[in-house]
Parts: sequence; structure tokens; C-alpha cells
Amino acid sequence: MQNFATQSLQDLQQQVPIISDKALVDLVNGIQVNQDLIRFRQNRGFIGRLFDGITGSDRDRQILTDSNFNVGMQALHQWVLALSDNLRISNVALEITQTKLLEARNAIRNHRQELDLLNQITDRLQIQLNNHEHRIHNLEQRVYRIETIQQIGEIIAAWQSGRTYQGFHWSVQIAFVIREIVDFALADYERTTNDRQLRPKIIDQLISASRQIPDHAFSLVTLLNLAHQDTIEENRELAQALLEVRSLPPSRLLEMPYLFTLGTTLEFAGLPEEARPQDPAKTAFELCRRDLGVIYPATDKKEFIEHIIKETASDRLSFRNSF
Amino acid sequence: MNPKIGLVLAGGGAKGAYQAGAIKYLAEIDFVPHIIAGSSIGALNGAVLAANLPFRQAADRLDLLWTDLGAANIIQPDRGEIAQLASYIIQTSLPTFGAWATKLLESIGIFSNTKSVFDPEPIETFLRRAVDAQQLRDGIELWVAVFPSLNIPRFRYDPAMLVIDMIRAKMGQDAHWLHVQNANSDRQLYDILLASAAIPLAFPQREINGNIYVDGGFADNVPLGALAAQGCTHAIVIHLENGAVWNRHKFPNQTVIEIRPQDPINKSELPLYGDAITFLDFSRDRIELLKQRGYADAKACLEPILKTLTIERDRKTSLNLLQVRTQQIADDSPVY
Repeated sequence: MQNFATQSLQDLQQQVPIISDKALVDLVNGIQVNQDLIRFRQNRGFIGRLFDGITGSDRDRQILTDSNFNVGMQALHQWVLALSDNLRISNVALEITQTKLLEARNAIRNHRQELDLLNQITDRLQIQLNNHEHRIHNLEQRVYRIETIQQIGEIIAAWQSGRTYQGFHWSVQIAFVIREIVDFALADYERTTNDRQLRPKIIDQLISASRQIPDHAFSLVTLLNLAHQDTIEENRELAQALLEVRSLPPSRLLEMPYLFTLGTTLEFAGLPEEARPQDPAKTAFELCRRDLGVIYPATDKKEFIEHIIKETASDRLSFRNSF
Repeated sequence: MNPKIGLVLAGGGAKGAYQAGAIKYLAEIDFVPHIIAGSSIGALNGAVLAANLPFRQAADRLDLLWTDLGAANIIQPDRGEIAQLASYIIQTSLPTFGAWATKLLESIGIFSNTKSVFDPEPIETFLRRAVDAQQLRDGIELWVAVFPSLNIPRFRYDPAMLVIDMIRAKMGQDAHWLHVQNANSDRQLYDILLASAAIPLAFPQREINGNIYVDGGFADNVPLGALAAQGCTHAIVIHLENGAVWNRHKFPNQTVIEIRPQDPINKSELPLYGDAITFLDFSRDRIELLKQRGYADAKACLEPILKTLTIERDRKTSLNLLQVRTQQIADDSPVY
């Protein structure tokens, strides 16, 4: 596609005169030759001038000087024409370049505006995306919470319906159910979401499912002795094995006094009669008070459940985070 | 068409040292001629250049030879100083003033049965030592200008014959241009060179193929015509006189650069006398001075020309590039 500027350029290209090397040499060297001739005539003495006049060489030199001058002027004229056309072409080239430059500047300006617009859109999209991400995150947490609650509910329901942990005393059942809840649902949930709000709900559900246990306070030692006595014979060893704490390091035991007392009670109660303490729970309780710190002699089912949940969940979280 | 570059060396006796200096500068800027033409001493300088390639080495050789020439003092007259001057007066004033001068000299009895004023033997020996015939045949194409003298049996070359030659030159008898490499023997090759420098009465004329020749400066002291006839396109001419009346515009098809002496090259401003005493001054100091002037003048002449040509070539290149680039940008589709 040709535009006006292209056509102008082509026209000018056809008009460019070429100045030959000969013309340039005649111009420059002609000046030098004329300088020689003029200098010779200027410096010629009287006899020399007389001699040159007689021989005619002075006239010849004059003609030669004029001839060189004329040829030089012609060469100069050619050169001026060449330079003028050079200038014309340069002007056209400049005009075309300026046009293209303006075109490029406009393009850049348009692109800049589009870029600003795109940036604004991107910012808005980013905000929307962040909002959506936040909403999705909340939804995922809610879904996860619901799923966890559902899992916990299923575990409690299975226990409540008698499908799990039968043949154990209530306190041992509570320890087992809570361990199942923590291991299969609560620990992952709390570690992922840092949400501790499910614990009261679990406590409520477990209290609700423990109607056979009186609501008033009772002796912890009595409860723990019953944990051994009310567990059927064939389950005692299993309960003792599952709740044993002697193999745990002291640092973990410091955070789980109730579980320590329960496990130690079951361990003492399982000893041969000659080695067994007269009151295993009392002995375990005193051992706990001596080695681990605060534990109260009286409790109720809510407090007991709270302690077991807290100790089990904390221990599992600490244990998993240690990896 | 490929350029054919020539070098033209004018005649001028001992002033030929000026050409040695000028050529030294030309060689330094890597000038190398395809063809050389010379007259008189220019022919002898040309022979040294043509025979001692490469050209830069030939320029050094010529420079050294002129130094040796100054030390050797081989140009010895057989007669007195007056006879030398008289001989050259006639040669340099030809053809315009020769008749008057010859009459004058005859009337005062200077010319009588003269064959040659100078002994040709030393210069011939020097030439044979400086120029190897075979190397010259294998070297740069060389042309020399000689003037055909009348060949009348049993008549020796005397002032009367000289006057006749002067009249013939004035009546339009042209110099002959001889291609040195066409010589059919080494003897003839040297004779051609010596013929071009055979100043009437000063040195003996030479016979070549039945023709008697004397100094080419008699009718063509700047034999560019010999090169133009061979298709020469560019030439550098080195003159040996101030205010030389030589018209470059007679050669419209050749690009000619003339190197002319900028300072007075003759030892005296007196016409004829100044030419004569300078022509014969082969002293060491004079030769060194002329070589230095030749070098300086060549440099002063060539530098502005080369600079101008370079600038113009750069301008054309730049213009072409500008046109191409502008065409490209003009044809380029819009970016937006």
C-alpha cells in the first residue's frame, strides 16, 4: 500500500543528481592548480613577465585559470544541486519519520489507556477474587465443620446405641469415645482450622448420652475404682492396655493428670492381689498429686468429660505437631 | 567499468627528485598505479617504479636512488658551464622560444659541431644498475614520450638540426609514445628510456627501429595522452615546474589530480637561466630539499581531495541508507 509520503519519496529518488568523483576532483584540485598559477604570476619578476608576454604563456595561464574556475563552478553547482536534493529527501524522510513517530506515540498512548483500564479491571477482579476465595474458604470451613460434627455425631451415636465400647465402665467408655472422636475427627479439624468451639458441643452431646451418671458431684477415687470393678472381666486387660500411661514420657504426662490417674488405677487394679494396692484409685490419685500437680478429689460427669477431652485433644495435637 | 589508474611523471632533470618525495607519500597512502607514463627524467623515475614491485618498495628504492645520485655526482659535463646552460636553454624554451634562443646562441658561436655536452656513459651505467630489464618487462606497464628527430644520413645532430626539430614541433609534430615493455631487446629497452631523456645537444639522440629520438619533453612533457589512449580512467600527474601551462581539460574522460610544486622549484626566477641551473643541480642538499618538498606538496594536494571524496561517499551511503530505512518505515503497516 502506498501513501502520499511514499510516493513523494520515490519521486525524489528519481531526481537525485549524481556528482561524479571527477567533478569533485576537478573542483578541489582545480583550486590547487589555480593557486599555483596565480602564485606564479604574482611572484613573476619583470624579466619573467616580459618573457611570458613574448611567449604567450601568461595568456595561456590566464586562460587555464579561467577554465579551471569555470569547471570548478560547474562542479560546485552540481554539488549544490546534489546537496539540495539530499536535503529535500532528508526533509521527506524526516516528515515520514515524524508521521510514523506520531502514529507510534498515539498507539502507545492508546495502549497506555487500555492498560490503565485493564489494571482497573484487574484490581476489581482481584478484589472479587479475594472475596470469593474468602467466601469459599469460609464455606469449606463450614463444610469441614459440618462433616466433623457429623463424624463426631456418628461416633457418639454408635456409642450411645450400644454398638461400641460395651462391657466397659462409663469412665473407660468416655475415655475411648473421646479418643475415637479426637483421633478420627477433632484433632485434624482443630489443627487445620484452629477452631476449639466444637469441644463444648461434644461435651454437651456426651453429657446428654450419659444419663445413667448422676449430675451431682462424686468422688473421683470412687469413680476410678468403679472403672475397674464395673468393667467386665474379659475387657479389663484390654482397657488397661489401651489406657496405659507408664510408657509415655513425663512431659506428656504432665498435661494429662486425669488420664494418668485413670490408666494408673487400671494398671494397679490389674496387679496380682499380693502386689495390688488396697485402694488402687486412691493410690493413683495420690501418685498423680505428688508427681503431676493439681487434681481434685471431687468431680462431676461434666467436669470429668471436659478434662478427658482437653487432655486427649491436647496430647494428640502436641504429639502430631511434634513430627 | 573497473578504474585504470595511471601515474604521469613530467620531465625536469634534477628536479625529478621532487617526484621521488611525492611518490613516497603516494605509496604511504597505498596508491598503486596500473600504468605509468613519463617524459625525460620522469621516464627514468617511472622505470625504477615499474621494475621494483611492490609499489611501496619501488617508492623506497626510488628515494634511495636519488640519495645515491646526489652522492655519486655522476652528471659531469664535457664542456664548460656556458655550453650546459645553452643546451638546456634551447630544450626548455621549446617550441615557443627556441628559434629565437638558437639564433642568439648561434650568433655568439656557442654551438659548433657539438654532439653532446655530457658524457652519457655514467648515466647509462647508473640506469642499468637501477633498473633490471627483466623486472621492468614483468613490472607495471610503462610508456615514455620521445620526440622523433629528423634522420638524415651522414648528418650529425647539430644546432641547425635542433632548429629544424623545433620548427617541426611548432608545426604540430607530435611526440611518440613508446611502450617500454614492447622493446625487442634489453639494449633497445634502455635506449627507449635514454631516448626520452636525450636532451638535444646535452645527451646523444637514440636510434630505435630506424627512428632517431630525442627528449620527449620537446613536444609532450606531460604524456597523459599515452595513458588515455590505453583506457586510463584516473591519473595523478606530478609536475616539475611552477605555473606549468598544462590543460587538464583536454582529457575530459580522465579524472586527473595534478601535484604541482607550491614553493619556487627553480633556484633563480630568471627565465631560462633559472630553469637551466636547477635542471642540472644534482647536489645532495638540493635533492634532499626537493624530495621533502615533493612529499609535503603531495600530502597537501591529496589530503583535501581524499577528504572531500570520503565525505561525499559517506554522504551518498548515508543518503541511500536513509532512503531504504525511510522506505521501510513508510511501507510498514500501522502498529495500531
